[in-house]
Amino acid sequence: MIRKSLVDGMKNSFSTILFIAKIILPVMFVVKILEEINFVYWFSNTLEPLMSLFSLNGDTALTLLLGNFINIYAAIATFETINVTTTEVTVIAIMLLISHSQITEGFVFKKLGVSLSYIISIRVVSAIVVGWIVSVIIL
Amino acid sequence: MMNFIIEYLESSLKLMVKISIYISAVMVLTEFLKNLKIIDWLNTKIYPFTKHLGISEGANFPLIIGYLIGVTYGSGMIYQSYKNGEMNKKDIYLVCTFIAIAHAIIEDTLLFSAFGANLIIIFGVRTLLAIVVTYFANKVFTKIKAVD
Repeated sequence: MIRKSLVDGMKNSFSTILFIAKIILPVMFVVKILEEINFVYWFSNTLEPLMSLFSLNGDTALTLLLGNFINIYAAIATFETINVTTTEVTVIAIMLLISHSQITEGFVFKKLGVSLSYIISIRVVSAIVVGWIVSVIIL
Repeated sequence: MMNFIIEYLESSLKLMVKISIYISAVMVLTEFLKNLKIIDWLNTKIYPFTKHLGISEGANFPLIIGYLIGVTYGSGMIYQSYKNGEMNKKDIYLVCTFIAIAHAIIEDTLLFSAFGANLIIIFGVRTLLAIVVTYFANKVFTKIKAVD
């Protein structure tokens, strides 16, 4: 039983790792380029006024954009330079956690046969709606 | 330019090593749990709740893995379950809907609580939202037979 579990487990992991590598590696390359050319800075200014909808500082637009286009860690790095209170962090965290790493995770879902536009819109729309509701309640 | 490539290679190699270790651990553990019938037992406990989301029994475990550990690992489990015929197309859509909203719940929640976010709010809201959205997604999919 122990031997069988080990062998079957390793067999499954091999094909699964391959499956994941085929998605992650090329997508990470693209994301890395976007990071390198500071892609999100191009339009973070445009989104700044919208952040007042969530009673948030305009600078947090950058946090959300980095989170969605790059990853959560890139988003968190902005907390070093932006002044946010802990309640504001809660709102940003909810929005970010619902909707982040859209490119990388989106392609993982796509590879499983789920429509990319379906999964992205569900995440973005619920992040906006829930972020607004929570901000009204706690901010 | 050279720097960029080296950086990419380094970070992707690191990530792949991490993923490989995690995946092997999860997959071997899963086989053990399967052979010890623990997954069957877990299913009988959890299925009464998850069946309201419209998923079949085989989709339970991938849902839990994705919810707890993350999209990448959840997707690996979904991929395996689908290959073994334990999940159908609708299961994939519903499980993906759920984990797209709420995944890596342990790691993510702790990460933000380190910055002062309210742990209970970010955990609770995300989980509740995932349940609600998946519930309605199932209703819609069943009605329009969009994914079969």
